Amino acid sequence: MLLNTCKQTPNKLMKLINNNVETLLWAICIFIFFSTISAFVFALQAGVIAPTEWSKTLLSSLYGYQKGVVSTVDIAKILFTHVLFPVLISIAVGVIFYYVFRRIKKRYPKWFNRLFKLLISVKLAVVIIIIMGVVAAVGTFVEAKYDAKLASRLVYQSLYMHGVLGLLCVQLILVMVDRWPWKRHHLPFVLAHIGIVTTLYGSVLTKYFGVDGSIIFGIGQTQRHITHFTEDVMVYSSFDGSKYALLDQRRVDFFNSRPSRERPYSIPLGEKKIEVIEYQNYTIRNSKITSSLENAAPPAVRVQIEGSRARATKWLMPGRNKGVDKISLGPLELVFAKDVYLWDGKSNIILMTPSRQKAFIDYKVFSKSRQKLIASGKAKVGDVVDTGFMDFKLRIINYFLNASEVVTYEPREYPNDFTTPAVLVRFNEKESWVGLNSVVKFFTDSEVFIFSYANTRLNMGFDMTLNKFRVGRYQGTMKAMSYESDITIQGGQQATISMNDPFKQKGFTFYQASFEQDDSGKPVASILSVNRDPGRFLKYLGSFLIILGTIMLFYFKKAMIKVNRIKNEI
Amino acid sequence: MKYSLLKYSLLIVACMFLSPPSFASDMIDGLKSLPVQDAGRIKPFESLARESLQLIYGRQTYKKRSAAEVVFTWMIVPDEWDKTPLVEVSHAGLRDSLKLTDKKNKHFTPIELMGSDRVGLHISELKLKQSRKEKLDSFYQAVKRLNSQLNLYHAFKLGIAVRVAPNKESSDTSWTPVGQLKGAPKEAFKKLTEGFAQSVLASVKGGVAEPTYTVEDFTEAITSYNEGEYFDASRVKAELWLHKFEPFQKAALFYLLSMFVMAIAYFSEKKWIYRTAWGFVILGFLLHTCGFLVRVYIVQRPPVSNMYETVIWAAWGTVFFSFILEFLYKKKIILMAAAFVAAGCLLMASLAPTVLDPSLQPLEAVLRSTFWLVTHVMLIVISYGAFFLAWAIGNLNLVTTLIGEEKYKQQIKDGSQAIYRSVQIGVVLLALGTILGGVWADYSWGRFWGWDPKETWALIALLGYLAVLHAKVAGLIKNFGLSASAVAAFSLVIMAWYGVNFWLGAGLHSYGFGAGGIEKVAIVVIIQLLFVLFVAGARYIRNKP
Repeated sequence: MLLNTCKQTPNKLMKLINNNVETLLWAICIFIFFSTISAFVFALQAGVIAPTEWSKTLLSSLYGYQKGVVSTVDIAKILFTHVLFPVLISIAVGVIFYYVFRRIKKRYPKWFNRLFKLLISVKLAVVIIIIMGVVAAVGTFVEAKYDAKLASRLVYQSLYMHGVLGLLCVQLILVMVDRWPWKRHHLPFVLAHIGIVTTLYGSVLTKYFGVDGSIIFGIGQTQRHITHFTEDVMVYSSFDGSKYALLDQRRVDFFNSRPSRERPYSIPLGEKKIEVIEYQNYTIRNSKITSSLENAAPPAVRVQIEGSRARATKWLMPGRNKGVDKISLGPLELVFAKDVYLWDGKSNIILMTPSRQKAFIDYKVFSKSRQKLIASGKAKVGDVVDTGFMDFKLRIINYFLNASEVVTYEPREYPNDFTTPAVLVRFNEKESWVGLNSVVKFFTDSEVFIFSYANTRLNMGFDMTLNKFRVGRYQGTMKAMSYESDITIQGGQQATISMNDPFKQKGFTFYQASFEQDDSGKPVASILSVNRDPGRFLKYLGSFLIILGTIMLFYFKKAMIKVNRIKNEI
Repeated sequence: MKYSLLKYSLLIVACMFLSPPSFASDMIDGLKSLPVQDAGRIKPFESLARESLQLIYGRQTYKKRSAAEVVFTWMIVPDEWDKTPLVEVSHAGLRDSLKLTDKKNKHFTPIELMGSDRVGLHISELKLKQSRKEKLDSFYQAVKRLNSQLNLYHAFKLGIAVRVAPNKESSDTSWTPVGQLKGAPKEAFKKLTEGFAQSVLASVKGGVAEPTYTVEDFTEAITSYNEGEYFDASRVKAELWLHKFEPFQKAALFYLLSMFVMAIAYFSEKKWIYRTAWGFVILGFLLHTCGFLVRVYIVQRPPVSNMYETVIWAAWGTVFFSFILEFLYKKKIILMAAAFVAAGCLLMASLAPTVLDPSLQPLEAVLRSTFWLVTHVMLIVISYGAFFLAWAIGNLNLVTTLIGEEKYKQQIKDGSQAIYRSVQIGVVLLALGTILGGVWADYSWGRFWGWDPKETWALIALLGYLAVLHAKVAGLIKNFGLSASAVAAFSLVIMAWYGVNFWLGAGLHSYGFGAGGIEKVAIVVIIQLLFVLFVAGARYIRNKP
């Protein structure tokens, strides 16, 4: 018996090979395709072949890396995530299903075969496609009613969306396995299906290993950190109020795992603890400025400036350290300084400082064109001062020599441009609201704790300075035609980033996203979006295969229908 | 401008309100070609006048008078126009809340609107809402329109709406409006208005006066003052031609003709009828292409950036694909359906200017990339054209099914084949366009796919048609199912194309947002879906053993 089998084996093998020549050719083609690409990428990364201009561009745009800064670890990562892992998984899945279901399926219970038949049926495919469409449609309505962030968290990045996409992948692979050995007319179908799986796999890489953040800097400012969309809480402590030490830093997702009074999110600090006991997705920040008994507290003044060209009403409150707060009105700047402020002669300013007489403010008006002081005096609450500059009038609405700011967050049902997420924090029975990207202080007898709730900040490893920002306008209008940021990288490299023309550096790509302007329409800050996308190459490859497959369908339509007819008859 | 023309103004008033509409037509025709700077580009005065009259009055002619004539006199005799019912308030709720005397009429005089406290009140509420970035309901959309109507009319009165000459002294790119002209340009414009007034005078007296000072003289004066050409004359002329010739309306007529002739050809074996239908559709197609190319020439970019432009382009795609399929299969209904779709689209485009805005606007900063605009936007929109064709043939098939499924078996089969092919074309183009959109977004925003409503709905439409194709290939649906689902799936295209921009109004593709027509489109979609259900039901009952 055993001998018999041995004798027959060569023949059997030959038969198997003979019967599956096309299959083998397929396998070889796929193998050559993937290994050529990976060999090319590997050779470039390792510097074996000379990187020409186009290959460098290709590499950096596809992987987000640049030659020279790629380490062996990076290469290993790329090889593993892009080649080894997907190929191994597909081979494993393919082999398992092929043998389990095609060769020896008779030995499995009936329900198992039925499940397999269901999984590979076109009916299920149609159902999955329709479910995907419906879920995505729900997402767009959520976005229209609320905002993109909620739609993404509630629908697109939710478990059921991932479940549907996972089911789609399983089905795509199983259907391909089922059609094995593939014939020539299977080409479009196989290409499109491999393409979809590859694209989805690429987006998984993007989601888990990619960086997607932004940088906001004013003109002349330098930034080293990217603001990422994920959220962190940090706790600092200090004994003397000047030096702070980081005690704890954690990545949090309060949206999906909501803290409550019953189940608070707790950060232990020795014997004490800080607890997050509530999360609100949309809140409006209200700040109220009141008089303070503390002598070190800064002064605050509420002023109204009104002229035919511009008007504004605002609280001006210099910080404890910064000493100056101002309003820019285009032709005029209104400055409130704690003590000394030097006029640089480059703008028209109204300078206000607290007077020695307690209820009064000293004001001085400097003119740029005349290069001198044109008016000065004292004013108290309720006074209206004619500034002498154009027709601007200054009214003092309220004034505290020592003021403190009380911040509250009021929950809202729907978002608008001013809402922010906020958490309620408890420490030693004291409760306080903290908005995203702000801090709250808790005092004990001996030390101060600072609790910070903020977007994650990622260190880029180099400084970036915004030198200039330009807005091109369409002739005779305020409508923006182009935005451009002139930047300098640490080390002196200069570049211009504009719409549709990004800039790459050390694996990050910088895109001109938007800008901020003051009341007169003058740009004051530039917003860049920053990203690193390790899944880009696979997404592009997958998209290419999908398109190739769908175009090929035109030529193979007849064959497909024939096969299906035969199948239906059987 | 009033000051220089006092002596004529009374006479002009007389002509405006007494004379036949066609007075001084030579002079008016001349004025139409006056190059003005408006909304970020240089256009003929005719375009500015039509757009302004459309906004303020709601139509492009005022009691059979041309827009250029009416708008020009706003500057010369504003006092008369102040007392004329000119400003359209089409929102009934707004009319009620304004508490104006005459509620039946939709048009009100600028004086009564500007003098109304309630108008001011509503506008300040609107400003508050805008500063809070709240979404505007239809009432405040109407207030917003009223606000811009009054502002624009006021700007014409003050002579700051019409910018006619570049400012030589300033580095600023904006041109000087007529009210602020100085020196030689001021003199030149004065002469131009005097010429206008004189020809008006002559026409009142019953004669025709040779224009003493034409627009050519004026532009020459500005050119010599400016020491160089200050505008591209051929592009201004091309735009004027577009207004005068109206190639899209003419194309629509030819498409209609072709549709009827093809319907006759359908029941007749005579070859020459079939060929005539081809001839008409080709004529229409040539006019259609010509109009499209002229728009390309005027704005120097592919004109696919708003609803009007995409409707024109999708219709072009429908006819183009029908040529290919008709040439291959010679089924007659393909061309007939395409002619129907194209005629419908072009007529809709020219009859609903408030929803489908035909004015040529400069591009948003992010769209300023001709390569991506051509590949991504044009591919997606032309794929809608292919789905449009499938939709029309699908409807034809449904009607035929209703009349007699057995009797017209062959026709239904032919139609289904055409539907299958056009859906296939559409799917390839939509997939390609959506993916290229991802590549553009990746290149310009730094992410390939971000579930933005516009891209999500393009994907949903793609998934819908993919489901149809899969179901057909697997034999889940047959000819009738294919026709019915091609009609039903087109609702997804309408949502992706129109719904996201005009109804959802969310996401990053905000540059295409608009308002209007939601109820009508919704009714059409619902009737369409009910029709599909009705035919399916009728068929089910008939086939029940």
